[in-house]
Amino acid sequence: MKIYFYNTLTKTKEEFKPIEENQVRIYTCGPTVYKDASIGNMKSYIFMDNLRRVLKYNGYTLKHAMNITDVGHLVSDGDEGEDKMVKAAEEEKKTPLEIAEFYTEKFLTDFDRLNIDRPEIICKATDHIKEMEEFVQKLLDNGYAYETSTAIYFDVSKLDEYGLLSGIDLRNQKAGARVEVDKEKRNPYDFALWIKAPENHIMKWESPWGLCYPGWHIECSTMSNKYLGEVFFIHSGGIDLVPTHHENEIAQSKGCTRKNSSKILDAL
Amino acid sequence: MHCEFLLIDGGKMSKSLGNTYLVQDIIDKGYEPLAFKMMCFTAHYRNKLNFTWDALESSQNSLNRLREGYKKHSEGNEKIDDSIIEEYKNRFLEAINDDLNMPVAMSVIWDVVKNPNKSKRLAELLLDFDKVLGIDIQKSEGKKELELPQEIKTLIEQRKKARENKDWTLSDKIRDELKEKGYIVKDTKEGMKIEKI
Repeated sequence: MKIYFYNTLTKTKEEFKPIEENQVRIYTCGPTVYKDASIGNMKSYIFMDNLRRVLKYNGYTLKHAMNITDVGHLVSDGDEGEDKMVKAAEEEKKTPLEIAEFYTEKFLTDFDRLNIDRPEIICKATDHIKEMEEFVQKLLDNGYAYETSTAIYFDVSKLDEYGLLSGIDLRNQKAGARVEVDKEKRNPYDFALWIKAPENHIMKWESPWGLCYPGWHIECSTMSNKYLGEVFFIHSGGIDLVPTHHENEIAQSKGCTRKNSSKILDAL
Repeated sequence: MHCEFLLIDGGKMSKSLGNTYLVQDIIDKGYEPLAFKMMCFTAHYRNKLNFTWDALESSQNSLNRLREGYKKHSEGNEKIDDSIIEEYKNRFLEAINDDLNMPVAMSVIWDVVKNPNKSKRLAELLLDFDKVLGIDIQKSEGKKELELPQEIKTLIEQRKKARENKDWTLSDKIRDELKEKGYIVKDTKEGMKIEKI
């Protein structure tokens, strides 16, 4: 029997035609493990479980990756504010690693309590710092990113179609319409890929651009690319992730693969 | 594909309102986490869902009724036509393959449960549908239906008598013995409750 799924990008229900005959590759944005997951968060993973089970019921095998964000997700969801992990670590007087382990464990306990089928691959951002750095380098090489005194930014003007997923129209965005922290940004919607760490920042890594930590969005493009390949079929998550996180993920993946408008668009 | 928000009592969930509920809170209030999963199936994933404790209560009741319905079918011996099974199957598959339309899929499940002809084949069908739901449909409802070995039943009877005679020492001794054998006894207002460890 045919399967139909709603595509956030085209805003229509479309017939599901997987890239491979029997296998479906899925990426789900997992939790930022700095506090307990609420039942509101769990609604989204019950949906993920539902998707997995329906595909399996239809006879597909799954290759499904879900990330655990343990660095880089800032309080504002944008490029401003403290890292959520660091803030929680300070408040609970633990290390960010302890915070991450504690809440990851609790998160997966809730999965079991709700009979949520676990994705085949569960990957942590901090285990992929090197790969993220390479991804950023590739974006610089491909001309989609630039360096400022505080960060490496993605240049959204280099894409024809930034904003398609959430319906942002760049032509109607005036510079300074949003709160600007970094005056060196070329476009208001440019977002940080790699952030130069202030001296007192706990989580930071050596990189060609000095001691840095990754932006929130780069981990998902890096890990989905590593585990699922350049083009995968279903990307799922909570609706709140559409305007910033998923929009930026698409941008990064396009910039890296130079597939500006092709298959990647089908992947949502 | 993106999943819509959960509302709490018709509004947003927020720390300041103290309504950021966790799965643990559901357990602490005496409900099963799976009752919350049942509740999620009452709305399409692309719609907002409103959480209230009353709604959770009714989802828990639905879950219990569903399991009772499964049990009744599993004990039944009536004949069911292949065509009826096929029809249920097709309707269920059509619903889940239509962008995961769980409210419609659930209505098919209720039709199966409510079928007056109690048949093992319908129980098997429900078990098959539970592959998609993951709500432990074969789990017997409540602790009262826990299958106990004869040895344990005898101990429980002895403990009941000891308590009637207010022989607390013996009652506690039997409680410890039960614990060693893997059963926890709880004394509640409704009487003694047994749980397997």
